[in-house]
Amino acid sequence: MSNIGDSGACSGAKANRECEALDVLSNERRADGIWLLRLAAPGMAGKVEPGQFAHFRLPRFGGHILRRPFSIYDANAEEGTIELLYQLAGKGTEHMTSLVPGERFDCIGPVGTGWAPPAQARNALLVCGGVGIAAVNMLALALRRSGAAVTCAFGAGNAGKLAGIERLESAGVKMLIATDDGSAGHRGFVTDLMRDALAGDPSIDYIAICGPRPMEAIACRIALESERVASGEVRCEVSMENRMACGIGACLSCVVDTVDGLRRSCADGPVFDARKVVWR
Amino acid sequence: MSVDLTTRIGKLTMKNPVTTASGTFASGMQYAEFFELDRLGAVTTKGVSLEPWRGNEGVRIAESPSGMLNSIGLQNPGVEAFCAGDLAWLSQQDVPIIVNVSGHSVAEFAAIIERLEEEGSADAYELNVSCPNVDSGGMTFGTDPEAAARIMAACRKVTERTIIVKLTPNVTDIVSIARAVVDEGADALSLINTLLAMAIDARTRKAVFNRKVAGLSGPAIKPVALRMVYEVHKAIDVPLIGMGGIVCAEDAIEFILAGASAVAVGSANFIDPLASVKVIDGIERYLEDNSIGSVSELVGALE
Repeated sequence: MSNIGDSGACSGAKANRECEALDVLSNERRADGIWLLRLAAPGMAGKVEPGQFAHFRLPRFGGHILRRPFSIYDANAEEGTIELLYQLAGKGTEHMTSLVPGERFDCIGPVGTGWAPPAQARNALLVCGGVGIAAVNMLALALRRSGAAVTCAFGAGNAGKLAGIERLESAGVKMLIATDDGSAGHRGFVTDLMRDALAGDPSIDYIAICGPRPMEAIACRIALESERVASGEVRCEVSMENRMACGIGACLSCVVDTVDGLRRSCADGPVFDARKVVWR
Repeated sequence: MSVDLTTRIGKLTMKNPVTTASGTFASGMQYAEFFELDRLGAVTTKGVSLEPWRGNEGVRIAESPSGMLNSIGLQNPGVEAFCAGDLAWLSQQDVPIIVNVSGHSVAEFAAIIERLEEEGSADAYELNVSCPNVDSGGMTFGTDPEAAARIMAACRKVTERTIIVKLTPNVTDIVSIARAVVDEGADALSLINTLLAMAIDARTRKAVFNRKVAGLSGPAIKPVALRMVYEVHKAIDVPLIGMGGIVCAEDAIEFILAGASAVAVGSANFIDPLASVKVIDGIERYLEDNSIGSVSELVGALE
């Protein structure tokens, strides 16, 4: 009999969306509590839009039945690979550190609605906290490829927890660093840097935010203090990934409150227009 | 050998004994991206109320050992929007439709069915008198035989279509509730809804869910569900749809042996979007491997 979560075929399956079996290529610690998982994903690697995520069923995880969503940190269509940058935050992510090359697990993806920077964006400001950089990395690289200037304000608890800077810097992204303890960059919140960047550069024409929820709330408030953001002239987006079960828009576990009503972070999001989000 | 998977639930004929547990499958649109919905014996929709319901605030889901807790709170757009949206779409698919109906009162249950009768595209109704995640109605009806019977009687007056009553396991004597609704004309029973449960975060010292309590589902509840299907099947002659932690065909066969005529796949849809189809394929293989001509021969065939 078929086992739950196996990726075997069944009669009547359609190819519009698939569960793909991914092979672990490497799994390495990149910073304090931050790991990078590289996966062979020939089916989905070429389809990933920046800001989308993948919904994983972890192998060898016994009674933990739910899938886990992770932002797709990077995707390489030619090599057929994707990468996840993940933060140790509980049993699931602790278990993930034990994955070794050759292990195979089941993934639905890419799923979700990603970033939608305006095509004419020339000067983007990305604001991220902690592992929130995983959701903005592909966006930053895509904006750079399109010729836009990109500034990334990046905050973490301390210098040891900063992961992902090199890849952005080598693509020409200007990094602004903040740490809570001042061990790297500005001592204080990333939102301080964001406020200064917005005040100092009136040519910023796109803002993207991803991080812990309280940081996102403050960052959105700062952005919306600008008349050009509040009016929609400058687009500001925020990625909001909630606890979810199905990951495909059916179960309504992951809803986000918006001015248009409750919206599913897995399907309508995770990226939302900052003007639409209702904070509480 | 070819085997017969046909299953009858009241006036509803299903080409195989597998449907979806309400609330785990929406109306099937998202899952139709993964497989042809006509593979299913029936689609059972998310609960539909008379007016739009916002559902619960705060965290709505948590994992637990071999299971999950949910506190969605029956978020849905109301019967009007349901008819214009999901039901209109679903009626274009080649699969029987069981609409799950949720009301705050006896009158609301009947009013929702009356509205659905105008559309005429539902093949059966499943009365949700068992949701643990709403304050008025829901499980409070399903734990009181008289209240459950009043709802059943009112709904029986407004439709001749098959009515299935979905019962809660959160009672001492499931048979007395089952008997009360069957006496008022219920064609079938769905067993079981989620178990009333709770999650606490030791780190924050707070309940995980705003309502404190939530509904437990998944493999963790399968033994409880099997026991209840068995008890009701022994006591009452009425078709049962067994559900609670079914993730593979073997689980489904166990429910059928305990007395279920059909089964529903619930939380497993979240684990594997193809779970329900794999259950159907597996039931067919089981019958072939054991030279059993018809799934109906297995119903209640516990030795």
